[in-house]
Amino acid sequence: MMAKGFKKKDESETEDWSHSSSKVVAKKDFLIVYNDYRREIKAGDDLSDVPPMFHQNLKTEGIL
Amino acid sequence: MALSDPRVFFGIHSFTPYNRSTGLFYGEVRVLKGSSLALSGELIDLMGGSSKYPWASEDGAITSEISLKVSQFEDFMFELFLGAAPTSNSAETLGNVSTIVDKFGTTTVDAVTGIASVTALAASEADLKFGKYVVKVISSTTVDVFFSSDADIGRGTDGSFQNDALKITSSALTITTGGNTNIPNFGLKLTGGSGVIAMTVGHTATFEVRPINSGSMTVTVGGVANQIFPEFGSIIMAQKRGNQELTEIDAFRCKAVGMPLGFEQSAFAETEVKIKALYDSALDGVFKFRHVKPT
Repeated sequence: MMAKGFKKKDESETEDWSHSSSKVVAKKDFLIVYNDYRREIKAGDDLSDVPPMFHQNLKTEGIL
Repeated sequence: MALSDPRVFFGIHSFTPYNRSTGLFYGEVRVLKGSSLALSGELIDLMGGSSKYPWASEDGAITSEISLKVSQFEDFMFELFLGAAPTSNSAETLGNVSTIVDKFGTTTVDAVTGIASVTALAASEADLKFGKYVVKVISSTTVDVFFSSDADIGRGTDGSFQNDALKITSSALTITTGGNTNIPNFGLKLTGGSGVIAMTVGHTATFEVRPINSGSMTVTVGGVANQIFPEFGSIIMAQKRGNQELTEIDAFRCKAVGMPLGFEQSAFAETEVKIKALYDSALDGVFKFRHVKPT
């Protein structure tokens, strides 16, 4: 589900993984709960569909 | 000539403290259970020898104390009896959310790397619930929220506790850069700082919420810097009798320290305040008693 206030990927100031040739894979489990958006990430999951606004969070949390 | 009617008093009507300098009234306490002005004196006896009886007796001190039982708690009572003037707030049509402040550690609240602010969620103010909230950092970018009491948890959209630690978030909420993270069902949003969010696990912050209201007051009792117990005058009125008789005590100079605050199961709170009635040298007296039989 698209969370409210998300930027479209091509408008993001954050790195856009959707155009990357290689898959972006989670290193460990993590849960994003942000208003209507909920994404339960398991280690090994492909994260290419995670909205850009969470990319920095995933880096900070060591998911990437 | 027949005997006059005996002078009798019945009931209590009001307690009205006033400012001794200006004479202006603080207000009127009306939900009264009772008052008594105790004027108990002592006689100092001279004993000596084998006499079992005093040789002489002279006047000792008189203790003058007003005992006031009330079931009303006005702002001025906190000022006079607890030494702290309350802050009264007018009606808040959108409720009120206090500024979030760090409690444990210093990384939770930060305009860049933490939570920049907590505010009411627009159009969800009816969900604001009265109480104190704690935000706890669960990971570098996520937090849980805890709520002090379920007394008001059903206001607006029902909230619920998730565990015995009074957590109200079923999953840790993600704080994003500049993003607004809603606290579900509580009419609140946490706004992330402007930079890379990086809080320290275990750190906490707190804030308080008032729901939409017609008025509120807050007072911090016991603060050393602003603690003043002013002297005041007091007018105690007995209940007007059926024959219109009125009785009044005007104690010129009073001082009180302390007012118990108790809540009991299924009962209106009641407190008993002890007030010293002191000698007023300007008026040369302790109190004036007045009684009238209107015609």
